[in-house]
Amino acid sequence: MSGRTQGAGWTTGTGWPRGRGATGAPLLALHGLAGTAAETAAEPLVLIAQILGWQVRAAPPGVTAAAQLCLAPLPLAPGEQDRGTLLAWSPDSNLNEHVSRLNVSVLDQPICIHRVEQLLQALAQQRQAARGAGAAAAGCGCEHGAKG
Amino acid sequence: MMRTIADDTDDLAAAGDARRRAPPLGFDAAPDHGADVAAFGQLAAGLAAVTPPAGTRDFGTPDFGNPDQAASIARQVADMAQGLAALADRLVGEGTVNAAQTAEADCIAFLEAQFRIRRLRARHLVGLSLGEPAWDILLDLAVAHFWRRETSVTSLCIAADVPSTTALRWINSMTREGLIVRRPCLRDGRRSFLAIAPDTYHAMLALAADALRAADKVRQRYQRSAA
Repeated sequence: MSGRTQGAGWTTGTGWPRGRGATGAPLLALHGLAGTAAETAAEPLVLIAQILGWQVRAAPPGVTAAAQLCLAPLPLAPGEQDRGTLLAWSPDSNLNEHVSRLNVSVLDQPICIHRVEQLLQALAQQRQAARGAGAAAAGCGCEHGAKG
Repeated sequence: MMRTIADDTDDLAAAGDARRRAPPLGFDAAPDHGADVAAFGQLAAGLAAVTPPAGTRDFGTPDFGNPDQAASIARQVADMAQGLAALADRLVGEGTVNAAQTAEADCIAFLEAQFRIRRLRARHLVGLSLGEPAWDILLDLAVAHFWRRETSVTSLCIAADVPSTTALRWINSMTREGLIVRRPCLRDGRRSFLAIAPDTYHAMLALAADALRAADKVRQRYQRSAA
């Protein structure tokens, strides 16, 4: 059995939904990981994300994904070996606070499963709360608009 | 704080008796045993049909002077023994009967014991890597479900007793296959935990009930042999 679904990546489709996964699940974007040591290093995080119901997509080069969490290999200094070190960040500044607060911007190797689980839960929780607040505000506007 | 099976030992001791007295789960009603009764009837008829050889006063003291008669009796007895063995196997194999007769707590105690036995393997069979993390995961989740314990991904990785990435691959695959489900946290609905799927839980209970009954039968057989 394998957690991977396609070749060297973990993506299950070629499409790139804007902002969220096809099912409305939080989205994890993988930037430039294919074929690097960081891809192997990222596997535990990707698996936990899938277990927790996240959508995982490989981001095409040059595309800034509107994802809740992004992963990319840490840029190497000249002559430095690829150690598989990962950078993690969120394009959403509010969610990025959680990444910084848990001190996982540069992921340790091996990845701490417990910390990654906490991170993904916190990001999903914040995202859901933000969507709930947005939906409530939109609903309020619609209702008043309909009456008006 | 993360709780493991080991943490629940005291809870089990304290609450086990109360749970043990609880009525069994709502499994299917006991199946119709008409077919089994009929099978027993056939066997009884077969026994009655074994006519004592000529020259004997009763069945208990046959005259085996005639080789053909002796061979015939031997064949009939062997056939009946096979029939009885097959019938016994079928009765042991009826999970619904066993589950209905066995309390949920007894089943869970058995499953937890299995989990602990698997940890003991590492102590007594040093250097052997026997694996099977999916079974460890199911055992842990079944016990967690009984105790209403919320299981995190991290906790399940520990229960699997294999390297983390291997455990995660198994958990991911079992989640995709529907053996494991995500459940919202009871205290904080925005968080989620992992749980055993209801169908899988009932299958585990039925398995445990079957296993307990089979173990009883084996023990009785050994006791009879020793007597």
